[in-house]
Amino acid sequence: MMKSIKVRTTLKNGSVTVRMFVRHPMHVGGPRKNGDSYAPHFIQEISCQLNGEIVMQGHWGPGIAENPYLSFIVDNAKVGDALAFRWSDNQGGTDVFETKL
Amino acid sequence: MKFSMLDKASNIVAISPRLARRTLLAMASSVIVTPLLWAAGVSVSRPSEAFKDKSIEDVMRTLFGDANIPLSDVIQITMTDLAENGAVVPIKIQTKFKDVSAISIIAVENPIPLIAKFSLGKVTSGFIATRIKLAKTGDVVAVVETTEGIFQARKKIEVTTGGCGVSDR
Repeated sequence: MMKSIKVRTTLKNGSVTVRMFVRHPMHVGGPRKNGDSYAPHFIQEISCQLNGEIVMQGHWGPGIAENPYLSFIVDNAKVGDALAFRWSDNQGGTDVFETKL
Repeated sequence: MKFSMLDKASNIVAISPRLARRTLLAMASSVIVTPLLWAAGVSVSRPSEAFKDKSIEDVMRTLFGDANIPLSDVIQITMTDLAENGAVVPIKIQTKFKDVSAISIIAVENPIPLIAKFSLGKVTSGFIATRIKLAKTGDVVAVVETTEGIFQARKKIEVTTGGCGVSDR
């Protein structure tokens, strides 16, 4: 599977701003214009670990826009800290991404 | 009097080996348990029921019980007043509250009002920016859970084209 998570981090004064881009259709499910329907397909859970500790955990419905973007700020971060990201969707799909500050 | 106190003291000393073993055991178990908890950080189970609710009142009741959630100026929702495309609406929620444990985003007019619930760790600031879908014009509610209590902020967004309608795909 192609890498679906892209992450940009900005470390400043001991706090890191994480900007996260995920490639995912985020389908609500429902009727198509031609009459048939399509199944919901969306990320249910997304999380970020800093040095193995979960610092952000998001439970999503299909109300998050397609190809989700998420930004948050983690304090107490320093160069060399390990960041791990993970998402899982309602159809069993999942992806992880790991990086270092 | 003095003598009896001494006596009591010696009593305590007498049972202390057992006590010491107990406290040692208790200490040992706490030492084992704490790093595990710490390593886990935040881990909250999915509020599945709240995602099934069809109205904002139900979502609020499922997530926060019957508590009356006060409006707060300290929570800032930064987003456009007029969303031309409801399928992608950037939203930024900021709060100066310390120790924010969770931020929930709810769109009143969406078929599934609860958009997302973010649980934040102790080292995570009260800040979330993302992009959401809006079905039609209505309030967007941000609910922030802190150690001081639960607070909310609302903002009315005009939506020109809804983002949850019939798909072209």
